[in-house]
Order: sequence, then C-alpha cells, then structure tokens
Amino acid sequence: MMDYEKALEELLKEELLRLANKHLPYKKKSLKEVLNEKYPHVTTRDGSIHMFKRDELELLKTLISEDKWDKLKLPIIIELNPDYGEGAAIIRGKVEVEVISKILGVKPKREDEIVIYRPQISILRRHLRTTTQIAFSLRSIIG
Amino acid sequence: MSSVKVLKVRPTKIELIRLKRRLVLARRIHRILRERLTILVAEFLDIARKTVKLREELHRKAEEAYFALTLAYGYHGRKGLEKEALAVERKVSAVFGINNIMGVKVPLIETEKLERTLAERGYSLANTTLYIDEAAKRFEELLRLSIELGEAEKTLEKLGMEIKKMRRRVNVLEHILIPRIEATIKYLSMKFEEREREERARLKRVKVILSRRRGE
Repeated sequence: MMDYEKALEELLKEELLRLANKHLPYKKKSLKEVLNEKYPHVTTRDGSIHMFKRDELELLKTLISEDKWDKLKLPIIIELNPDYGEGAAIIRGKVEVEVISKILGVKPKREDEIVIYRPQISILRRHLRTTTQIAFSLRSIIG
Repeated sequence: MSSVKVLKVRPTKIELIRLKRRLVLARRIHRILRERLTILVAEFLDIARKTVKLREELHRKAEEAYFALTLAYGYHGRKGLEKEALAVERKVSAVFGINNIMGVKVPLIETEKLERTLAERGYSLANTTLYIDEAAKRFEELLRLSIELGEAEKTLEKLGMEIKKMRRRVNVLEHILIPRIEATIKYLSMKFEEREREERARLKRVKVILSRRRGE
C-alpha cells in the first residue's frame, strides 16, 4: 500500500478513536458527592479533569428533593441517538429525566427516559453547561 | 472527464474490498464530525451571545463605577480616598479549572463571593460617605463581570479554533477523500467488468477455433 494511503487510513482510524467520547467521565459522581467536594469535578476518559460550576450544582439542588441527591449522577449524559432522527438526543435515568423536564418545562412520556431535540439541547446547555455532557451513542459510532 | 482524482491502487479484487471498507469508515467519520461540528457551532453561538451581553454590561457598569469614583474623589479628595483604599485592600482567591465541551478544553474560573457588605469592606463608616460605598460596590461588581467575561472570551476563542480545524476536516472528507474513494471504486469495478468481457470474448474465440479444428 502507498504511504499516502497508509497515512489516510491512519488519519481515519485516529479520528474515530479520538472522537469516541473521550470527553466523557471515567466514573460519574452523585450530586451529593460533588456537593461535599471542595473542587467538584470528575476525571474524563482522556485523563483530564472536568469541573462543575457551583451555581449549577446549587440549581440542581433546588430542582430535586434531598433524598434524590445521591441518585442524580453527574454529569448528565445527553446521548445523540440517530434512531430518533438527526439532532435528537436521549437522556436516561429517573432523576435525570425529572431534572431535565423541570428545566425544559416539558412532560416526559416515560419516567426513565426523555427524547429531546436540538433547540432543547441548546436551552439545557445554557442552564447546565458543566453538569451535562453530549455523547455519541454506540450506534452512531459503529453505524 | 471527471475532475475527481482516482487513487493509485493495484487493480485487484482485494484492493476493491479494502476500498469499500474504507469508504464505509470515511462516511461514518464524516457523519460524526459533522454532528460534532454542529454541536460545537451551537455552543459557540450560545457563548458568543453571552459574551456580547457580558461585554455590554461590563461597559455600562464601568461607566457607572467610574462615575461613582469621580463623585467620591470630588468629595473626599485623593488623599482621603487613598487612605480608605488602604483599609479595604484584599486578596481575591479564585479556582482555575477545566471544562470539557465535546473534547475542547475550556477554562472555568470560580471565585469567592466578590460583593461584600459595608461591614466586611473594612473602612471606617464614620469617616466616609455614601459616595465611597457606592464606588466600592460598583467596582466589586465590575471585578466579577471582568472575570466572567474573561472566561467567556477564552472559551469562545478555544471553540472557534476547534471549529476551524473541524470544518477543514469535514471539508477534506466531503470534497476530497470520499469522492476519490468513490471514483476509485467505480474505476476498479469498470476495469473488472471490462476484464470479464474480454475474457468472455476470448473464450468465445477459442471455442470457435476449436470447433473449426474439429470440423476439419
């Protein structure tokens, strides 16, 4: 195979790996856990640190009752899912759905997952920029 | 003749299979990159709006703060102001962290509460007037806004750079790589079809020659 083609193939593979949700946390933390931390943060898969804004944590605190603080895992993952159409995303988890539906002012069809669209993602990110993360679903990576 | 260049590959079936695999991979990456680009642009626009608002607010607050300072300066004079300023000197602690937006590392600055009450400021309330209180309050607000604006502008810059890089990659895939692979696949397929036709014609010719010989 020619050097040029080899380089192209390498570039393609590298891109796919690089994009494969490297910005997602290695392990999620509960709201209760991060509220007790001096510097609320999670470690991402690429080894870097992702910090949460205190204001956002305070907002989340007000949206759910105290007994649910340890059930809300942060960051909330907004999973882009091609099954629901281009630009559609899904958010899973009971408490997560409760928080998101309160922020967006919508009533979810199911209590453990909610499908949102691009304008709603934008609104959500405006309120919770550090406490949410957008991810590609496995289907969109593998195809 | 098509303007799309064909990759220099050996005309073999293995190569054709390899190219088809590469095309699937390239299309998938293109789709992901395009999706990522869309999200980054949306984030960029959002932060750009926030930055514009913050800058406008900063200008307004700066105007108010300097006006309040001028009034205080006029009433207390330079010496009087400097004396009170010495009393309120303080260190502002801030935490500099990283926030990850779709793989782009942007700064995050968290400060302690910058706005203080009259008692917390530390200057003598008996010897000062409302002018100083007002100026101090305005400058505290200005400091908070400056930090917020700094964070937003740096985020904007980082996102902008990533968008530029990303757009170039998407364009390379869309306009160069994918069309070239497609053209090469088409070229190889045509070549194989032609070979097959040649082979068939050759066989027919051989058949005719053989039947002729048998007839003799």
